[in-house]
Amino acid sequence: MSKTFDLSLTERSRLEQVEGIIFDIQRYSVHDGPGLRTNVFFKGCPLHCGWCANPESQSMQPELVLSEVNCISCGQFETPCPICWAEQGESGWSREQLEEFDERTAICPTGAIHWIGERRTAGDIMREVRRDAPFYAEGGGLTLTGGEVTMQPDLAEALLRLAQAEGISTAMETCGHTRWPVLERLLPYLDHILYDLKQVDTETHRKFTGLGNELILDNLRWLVAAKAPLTIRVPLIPGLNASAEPMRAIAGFVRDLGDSRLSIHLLPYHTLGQSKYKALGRTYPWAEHDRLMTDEVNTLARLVESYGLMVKVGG
Amino acid sequence: MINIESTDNVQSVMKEIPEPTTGFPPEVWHSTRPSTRAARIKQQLLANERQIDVERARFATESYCATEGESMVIRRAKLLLHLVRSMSLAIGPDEVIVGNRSLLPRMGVIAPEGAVDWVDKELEILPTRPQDRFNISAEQIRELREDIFPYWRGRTLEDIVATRVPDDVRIAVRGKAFSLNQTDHAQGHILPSVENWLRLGVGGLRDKVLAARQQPEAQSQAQQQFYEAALIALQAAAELMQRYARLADQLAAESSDSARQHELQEIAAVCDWLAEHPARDFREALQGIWFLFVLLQIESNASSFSPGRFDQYMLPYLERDLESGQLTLEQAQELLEYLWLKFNEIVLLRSSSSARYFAGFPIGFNLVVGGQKTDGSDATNLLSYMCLRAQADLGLTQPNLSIRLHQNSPEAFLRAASFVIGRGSGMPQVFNDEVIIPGQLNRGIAPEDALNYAVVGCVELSTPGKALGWSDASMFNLTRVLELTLFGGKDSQTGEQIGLATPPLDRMHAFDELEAAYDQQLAHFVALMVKGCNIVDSIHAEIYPSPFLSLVIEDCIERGLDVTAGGAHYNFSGVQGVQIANVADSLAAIKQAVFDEQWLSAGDLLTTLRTNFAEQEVLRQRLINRVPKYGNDDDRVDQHAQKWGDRYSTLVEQYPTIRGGVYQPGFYTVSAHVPMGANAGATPDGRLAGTPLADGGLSPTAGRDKRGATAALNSVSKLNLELASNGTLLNMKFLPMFFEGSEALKKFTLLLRGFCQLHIPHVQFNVVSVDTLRQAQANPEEFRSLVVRVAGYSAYFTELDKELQDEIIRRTEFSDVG
Repeated sequence: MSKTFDLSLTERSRLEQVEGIIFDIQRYSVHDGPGLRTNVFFKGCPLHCGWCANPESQSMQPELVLSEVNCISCGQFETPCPICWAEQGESGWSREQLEEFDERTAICPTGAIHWIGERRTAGDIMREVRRDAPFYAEGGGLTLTGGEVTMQPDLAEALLRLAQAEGISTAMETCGHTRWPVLERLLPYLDHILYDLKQVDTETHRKFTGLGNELILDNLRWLVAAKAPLTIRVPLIPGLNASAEPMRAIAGFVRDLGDSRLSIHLLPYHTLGQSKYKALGRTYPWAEHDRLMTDEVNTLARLVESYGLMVKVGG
Repeated sequence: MINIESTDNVQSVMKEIPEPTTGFPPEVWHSTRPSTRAARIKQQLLANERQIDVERARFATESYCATEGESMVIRRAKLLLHLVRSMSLAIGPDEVIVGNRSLLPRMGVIAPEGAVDWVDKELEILPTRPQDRFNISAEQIRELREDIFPYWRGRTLEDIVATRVPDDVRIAVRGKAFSLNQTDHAQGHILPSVENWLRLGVGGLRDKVLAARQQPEAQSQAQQQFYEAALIALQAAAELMQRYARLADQLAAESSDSARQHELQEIAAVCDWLAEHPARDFREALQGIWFLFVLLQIESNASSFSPGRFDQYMLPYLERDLESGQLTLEQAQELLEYLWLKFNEIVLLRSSSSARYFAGFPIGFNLVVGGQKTDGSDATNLLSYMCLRAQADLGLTQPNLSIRLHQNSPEAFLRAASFVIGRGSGMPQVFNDEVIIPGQLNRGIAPEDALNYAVVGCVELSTPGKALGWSDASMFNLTRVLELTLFGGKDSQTGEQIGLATPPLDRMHAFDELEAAYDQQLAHFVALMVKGCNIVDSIHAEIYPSPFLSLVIEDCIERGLDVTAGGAHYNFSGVQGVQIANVADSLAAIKQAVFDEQWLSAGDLLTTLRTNFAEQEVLRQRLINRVPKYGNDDDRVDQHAQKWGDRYSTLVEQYPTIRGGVYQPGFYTVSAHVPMGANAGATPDGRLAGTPLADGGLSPTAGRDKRGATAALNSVSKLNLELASNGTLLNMKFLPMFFEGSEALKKFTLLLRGFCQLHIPHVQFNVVSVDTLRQAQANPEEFRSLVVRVAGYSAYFTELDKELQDEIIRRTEFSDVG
């Protein structure tokens, strides 16, 4: 059961008014923590991974999305909506185009053109999270994910504290790229931390995510030292780490952290994010990579296991 | 690669269930296949083409001609006796549990006392009609037309109902506000006391009748006639069993296989014993149960005689045999599965129109396991698991397997049930004690009976052996009545005044006025529905007494009163409101578009509906996509579902039935959302004229619930479903990935636990098949709620690229079972 923290009425009311930008609240999530979860997806991420399954999570700004499958070619506009059929290219939409499409979002009969990402208050988000309370048995509850949660520490803290005050279990998924004080600030309100570890080699990490991993590795060491409730999640990405050498490095790193309670969850690469790139008018950067075969995944799982670590495949 | 957890096999799933709760070692669950012999019987059963049976019609005609002038209850008993003496019998080469109500399995039996007109009209098309086909020969057609049907014209239930229904009811039925059911066959829909039947046997019941006949308060002519009929019915029961015993003897004498010879001799001994005595062991009890249901079907030819709480009344027989070593667990499981196969041998011949409401021969052998004992403690036992395993092994459509859940249902039971649900037969269905029991108490059912509730047919709730719930009296088209209200009580196409003359939508100035008019129309049509149902009910009592059935429904013997005349301890009539989702979505659309935001005028909306959205696809899409929909836990629309669902319930429950007790509301359809949708014009929720309504009963409109399973359940739970004590139905669709691997099953049980807390009476989970996914690719609109769940990622199946959809389909294909 969660640690519960009493909140004074004024403190609660202050927390409820904290705002941030999120792009989805996904109920009945069966991964991302124990039990059944309600995932709140934060918008904005410091990393830009080519394989990212949630490309709409990367920018902190609201974005225009055109979903081809939902477009009925309604014929209400002088020019048809171009992004239904073509990509916008690297430069993105022009200001005039954005203004025109913004008008269309109000008129579009199916919602095929819409803005993704909206500013909401913690109180508003919690009203939705709370609705699933009957399903939070056996440790289920709220999971903050994204995007990168720690880019909006105020909203994160507010949600976590409000949830804990109501006895709702809390979890956070993070890429780890943040200043330590942010993690330190959130730590008291977290029942579970799902910590992504993509690469131990700094240069490779920089090449594929845009940033080095020094902060990420340091933060992980400090979290272990702080005895944080950690689970390490390794996305198995072909072309990045889904081979023996990088996995040995990852397994070795985790073993050397010296915490026998640590388990590693391997999350096999999937291409389900592809349609989202199209809807955002972007090209899918990881297109040349095939999905992994079950055998390959199992081989890597055994390799990690051979370092004396608990391994689970899937979230 | 979506979720590698599927590399877990079933074996590891079941290993986590602690022994001995499941009764079986994990590898048994892993294999989940029937015995070789059961598999052979199943194969023959499915290969067998359905034929029409003319015998029942022929012998019924003979019997009715011979008994004219006698009291109807006696004529019905003599009919049963004549049928069991005359009908052709068979015992299949592999059978251990024997008996049927026709010569071959799955024959379409014609009961002319119910109706002959529709049968006559459909004789030629029976082999080719779209739903539920039967082969029929030219000679059979001739016999029916020349020798049988002429006698019955004017005497059938259908004919008598037609002459007695008054004009106001007729106009409402023709205007499709509601249907009157049970107008062409006996009503069935009842839970006989299997327990008494097994415990007392034919002899014990006879003693009971003989004793009751002596009571000073049972001396009226009608009562004495009832007792005489009851004794004839018992005679018929004994003779049927004896005939099977003699047939088994004869086959034994003819058989050259000594093992089979021995089996047939055993069969003969069991049948002979049961012809007079109570069952002594598990096998005799199984055979006894089957004879009970065969006899009920011979007498009535009706839908939904349901076995009820099988795991409770059968446990003592099983335990005794296991303790004494008479049976091993494996042998018991095999015998159980022979009975399961038998439940698939009886189908109901329905008219084309009725087959649309109840497609695929649902005969309603609803069998429920788990739940609570009459002291409130958990009732799950070894047999509960054996029944689940039988469903996993055989994967057939009968019995209609249900489980009862309550707060303290054991984890292993939920796990085993989730495993079977994941195999995709739609079973077991799940019923929730936490709301059903209070609902039964609220209807005046005694606490020990409320705790002992079971399920009739599809989802109807009743007391085993004590109640005539008449649960399928009518289906009330809430959507159609709303449509009529929008047009001032008139049909939108013909202009005929069907309901009250309230103002049409374009003469209303506020949403309240619409609500007031809808309320008046509902009250008007509910009153007419009750009037019609009472007439049908009284005609059944007059021409369709059921003396054999009355023997296994308490207090008929004590009171000397047939069950159709009100002899049961509890009496109700159940009427279903159809469909709450379309009503809620339509009202939300009108409120937002016409009154609050005013982007659509009432006149334009009426024109659009009248012309079925012709040239108005953009408007239709706006109504679908830009207005909140029931099933997303959104109070702006759910408030309408709650308000009108509860209003229907309170309107209905104020009426008494003519047998005592009250009318009780339900919210379910079987496949009736299709024809009832065909009866309704275009609706403001964006539904096109004539297309199906939302399915199930309480389900959101297909594809409109997009916030996940928990949000849909929350929406449904906003209605006061304690009032819907006749039964409710909620369908939910899931991708197979939610059942793959032990962790997934565990998470699924958490959904079941949440459902239990939410006070929703029923849910049924459909794990979508490859075919369904292909449909979803072709026609995404109805499948928009299929969610894909992967760690840290969210999407809908219909929004994935075709290639990715194909990938999921391939995975499903790969893991498809049964």
